[in-house]
Amino acid sequence: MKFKSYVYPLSLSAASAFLANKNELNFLNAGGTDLLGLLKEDIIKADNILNLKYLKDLKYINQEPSGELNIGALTSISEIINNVFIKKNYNVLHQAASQIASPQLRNIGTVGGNLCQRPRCNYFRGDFNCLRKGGDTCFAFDGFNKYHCIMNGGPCFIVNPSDLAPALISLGAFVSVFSNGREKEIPLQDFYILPSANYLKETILEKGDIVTKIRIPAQPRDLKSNYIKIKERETWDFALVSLAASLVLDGKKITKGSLVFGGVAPAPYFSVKGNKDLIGLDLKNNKAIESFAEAFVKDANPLSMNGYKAIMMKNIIIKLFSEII
Amino acid sequence: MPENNSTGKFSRRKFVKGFGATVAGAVVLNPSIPKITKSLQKKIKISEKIKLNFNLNGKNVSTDIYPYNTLLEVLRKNMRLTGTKKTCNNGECGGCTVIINKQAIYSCHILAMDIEGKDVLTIEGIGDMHAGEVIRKAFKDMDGLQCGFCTPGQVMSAYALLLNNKKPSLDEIKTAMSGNLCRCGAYHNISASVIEASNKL
Ligand SMILES: Cc1cc2nc3c(=O)[nH]c(=O)nc-3n(C[C@H](O)[C@H](O)[C@H](O)COP(=O)(O)OP(=O)(O)OC[C@H]3O[C@@H](n4cnc5c(N)ncnc54)[C@H](O)[C@@H]3O)c2cc1C
Ligand code: SF4
Ligand code: FES
Ligand code: FES
Repeated sequence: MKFKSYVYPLSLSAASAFLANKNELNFLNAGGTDLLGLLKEDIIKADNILNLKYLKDLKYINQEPSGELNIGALTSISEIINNVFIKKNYNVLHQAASQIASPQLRNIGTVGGNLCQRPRCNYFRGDFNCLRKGGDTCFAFDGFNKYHCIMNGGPCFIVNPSDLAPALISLGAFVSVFSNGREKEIPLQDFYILPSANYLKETILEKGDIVTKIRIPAQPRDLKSNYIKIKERETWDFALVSLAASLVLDGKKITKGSLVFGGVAPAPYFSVKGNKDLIGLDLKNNKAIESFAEAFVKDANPLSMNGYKAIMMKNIIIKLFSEII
Repeated sequence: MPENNSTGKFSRRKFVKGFGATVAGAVVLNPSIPKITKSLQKKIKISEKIKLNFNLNGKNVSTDIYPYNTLLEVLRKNMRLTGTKKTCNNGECGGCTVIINKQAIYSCHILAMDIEGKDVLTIEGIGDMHAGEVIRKAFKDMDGLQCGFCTPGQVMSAYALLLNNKKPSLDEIKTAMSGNLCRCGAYHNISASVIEASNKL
């Protein structure tokens, strides 16, 4: 592991000021489950590592009287899973958290770290100076691209690896970022950027920015939500394709809802048109569901080895609809 | 709950006693957020040795470490406790599982600096305790191992599960044990061992 020093910032502003130093490459250590992997494999070279774990103000799950839910960035994945309110009301979030990594990693991995984790592309994680690491080639494009994106790719073809992000976006969550001495809040769906805008980073975070909080607005009382994750093995595995759905039904008809995919695009993938077309969809009508799912994968643009993801995307929609009623 | 009658049937007091011994002597005020000692409130250079204080298997210990040391390295090299195995060294197998503040974690995938002031329990620490003894016997009786290399990690995950959930269902056992790989594929008997242990505790 290569870094120059280890720092315990005692406040958020101290951490942010440290992080903002233009002449240094400094990284936050929240749970460290992703960071240590990056450091051990020499994927990042750090000047300072900042231990965030002691900032106790960032570790909470608060249910407000208004019905909204606030989650501190340092809350562990296990704390999400064990939270009774989330389990009862936000199945999509409970299911997504339950399927992350393994119990030992969930015990220390945090919500903030989960949203900010780096991509899993095998070239990025390996000894390749690819585009995303400052080189001039995307090795996946002509190479081993089984796990890469089928939507919104180019010039880099990563997928966003987070399981929490699709779940939270389907619930319309907001993320708070501490930046330049103050906190700003943005919709989580705007937090991620595509490689076409900037292939060197995955989020809007600038130097010195720290994710502090997730806010989930109050949800309809009769919300039905679920998260389905398709993976190659039960534990430790990232999604091949995953789908987060938060829906409101009137009988078998969808009156409101949102579908967000993981594993198919460089950012959690949703379609504005798709979510509009959801309204009025009759979950008893197999034909309608089939053509709805078909329309969703129409934009897919697979690489040489990942055409299967388009089929999976279609099937996962059908599976989710059949299970939610 | 029936009181203990030496038949090995579940006894709450015995169980609590068995697990309780681990935290005796700990000085942690708030287990999840330990105090940052004065010495840590500064920038620590990677070449600089620093004193790490934590509670290991019920005893307060302190040892000199480098900031880049993982907990696993400190356990095996500094503390000479080699029951915790270094296998993948990358958070992907479970061989290095230990318990920190009642939760199973991978010791290879956390910096030792981050356990300042916390309670660490290793396979060596549970041997003398009732619950540890029961789990060990259950693994032996139910043939919960083949080569045995993954076993310390399996036992620690089982211990963490039973510490927090005394009567787990089979599904809960499978989930709790899912972060421990067994190359020999002894999974069926490992689950049976955990069931046996939970019946005996
Ligand atoms: C074997 C293995 C399997 C995994 N499987 C999954 C999986 O199935 N699904 C999944 O979603 N994830 C998975 N992960 C990824 C990840 O480790 C976890 O999701 C975890 O939640 C990350 O949180 P952390 O606190 O450990 O992150 P850290 O490692 O502490 O941080 C990750 C990155 O985010 C930055 N960061 C952390 N906190 C903040 C913050 N508050 N503000 C700004 N930046 C921040 C860090 O600097 C770092 O670059 C896996 C990891 C491993 C090692
Ligand atoms: S997909 Fe992105 S991260 Fe992977 S090799 Fe191509 S440029 Fe690098
Ligand atoms: S050695 Fe730690 S998980 Fe494999
Ligand atoms: S018993 Fe051999 S690895 Fe599990």
